[in-house]
Amino acid sequence: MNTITVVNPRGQVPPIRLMPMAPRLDSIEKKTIYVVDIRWPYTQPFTEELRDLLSERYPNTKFIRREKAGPYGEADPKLWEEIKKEGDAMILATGH
Amino acid sequence: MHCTTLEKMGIPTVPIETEIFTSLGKMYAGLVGMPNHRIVTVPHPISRVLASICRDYIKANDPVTGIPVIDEIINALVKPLTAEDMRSGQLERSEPRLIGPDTKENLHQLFLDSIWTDYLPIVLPTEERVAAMLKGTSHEPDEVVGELRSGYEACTFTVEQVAANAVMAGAKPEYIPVILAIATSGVPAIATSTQSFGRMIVINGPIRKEIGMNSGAGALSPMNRANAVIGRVATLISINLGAGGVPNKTYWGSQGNVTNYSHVTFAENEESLPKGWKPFHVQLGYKPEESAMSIFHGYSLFHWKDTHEKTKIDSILNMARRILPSGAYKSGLSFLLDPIVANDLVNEGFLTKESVSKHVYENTLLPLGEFWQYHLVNGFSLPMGQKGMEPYASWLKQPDDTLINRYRSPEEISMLVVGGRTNDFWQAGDFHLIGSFPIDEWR
Repeated sequence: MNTITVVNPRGQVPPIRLMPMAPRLDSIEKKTIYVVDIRWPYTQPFTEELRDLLSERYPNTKFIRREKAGPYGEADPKLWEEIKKEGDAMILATGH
Repeated sequence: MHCTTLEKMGIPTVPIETEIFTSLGKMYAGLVGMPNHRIVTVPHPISRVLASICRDYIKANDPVTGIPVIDEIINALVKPLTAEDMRSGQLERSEPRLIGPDTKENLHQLFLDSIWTDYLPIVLPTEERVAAMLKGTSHEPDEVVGELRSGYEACTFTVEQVAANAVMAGAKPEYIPVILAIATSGVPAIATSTQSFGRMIVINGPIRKEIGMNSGAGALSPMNRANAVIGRVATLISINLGAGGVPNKTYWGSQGNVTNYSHVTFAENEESLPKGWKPFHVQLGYKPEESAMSIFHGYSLFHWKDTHEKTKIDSILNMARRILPSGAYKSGLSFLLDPIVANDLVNEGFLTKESVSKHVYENTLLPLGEFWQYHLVNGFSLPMGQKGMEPYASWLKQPDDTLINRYRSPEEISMLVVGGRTNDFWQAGDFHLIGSFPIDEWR
């Protein structure tokens, strides 16, 4: 049987750097949790409803809804610092 | 990616994704090194959905796991981490240089099954064929020449790997400088976006004639080997060198785009430009004797031939007023004019390409109230303005009836001459220039 060898047309993918997840909360009681809207067009009602439903169910937890600044793919370092300083966790609605 | 940033900062996060992107979320989490990130899913879509429906989605079960959405969100934040969740280190992944030996039939099947093709027949890139292709460039085969991200990872690649894709598409060795210019541009021909966009690739300079590209009759049709193959290679490069192009994995364009087959690849008809009209690459600062590859982003072309206007410029303006305003993210306008149309415009007083672009820029105004309603404007320009970026920030302070330019600048309106003078035909589309790249350094 005739066989041949070919050049691999694939590029070299980079290594994956494994990253430990952040420690989880012992509970959400009396915690501050940010509900962040990634700012995909016209998703504001979803994150508003999410904040409201969570607040209804967990009245001893503070849920703060914020819209990330800039288009959806852009980082918002100012907000990240605020969450680090003022918050305990983040729920992110990614849109679409 | 935002969750990753926060997790690194020590803040537990939970992303909520819509059902259609479940596989993407899991794959992306793995690629960024957090394979067990806890993702919650709701029905798709959540954009432009009534608040009452959003509420029902949140009160219901996650459609993937069957667990109530709210319970799942809280669990993601409080459930203790496992040893696997806290793993660190690096996972190396290597691609072999060669594949086989195997039979031709098995290798063809492997390329199809692995989605390394565009599903049209390919030429298998044997070492002999690749070596012959490499004769078209002075660069060494093992030279790492670029990085490309069509999917979610930026891959590096060598000259030899570019040549392998060129062989697969049916290229001749003399095409390889153009193909290397495309590969090393860093611009993927296809990308992950849910928007089904395409590219347009325009070649200028002496290499057009040297490799036999068509800039005349049928230039935009599959009627010339160089035009057809170079456009095709751009897709194979994106799939193979950029790790993209797999639907529902690394490609999310809802409908796809027919231009992805060949990316509207053609040579400008420089020989038929009216006096005073410069070749496109010369407009950008290249010398006429240099060769350049210009790559555009856009969605579609359509013609404006059978119209009622008495002049070409009125016909052009009528069409230009119907394109998405370029205040939005990545939009613009390109005209593909037969040389007859270019000459008609000269006879109407437009002695340069730039004068046409300027006229279109100045005569396609629209009110701000309309501008802010466009989907992409809402998603990109509006938040930029809210961050203080101009001109959007100033526009946000002005009334809705304020007139603004539909296009960001005259330079964003490209005039390209292509065609065989058989008809005063022209077409246009929302293609805007991403960049223009030299070809000669790849000879």
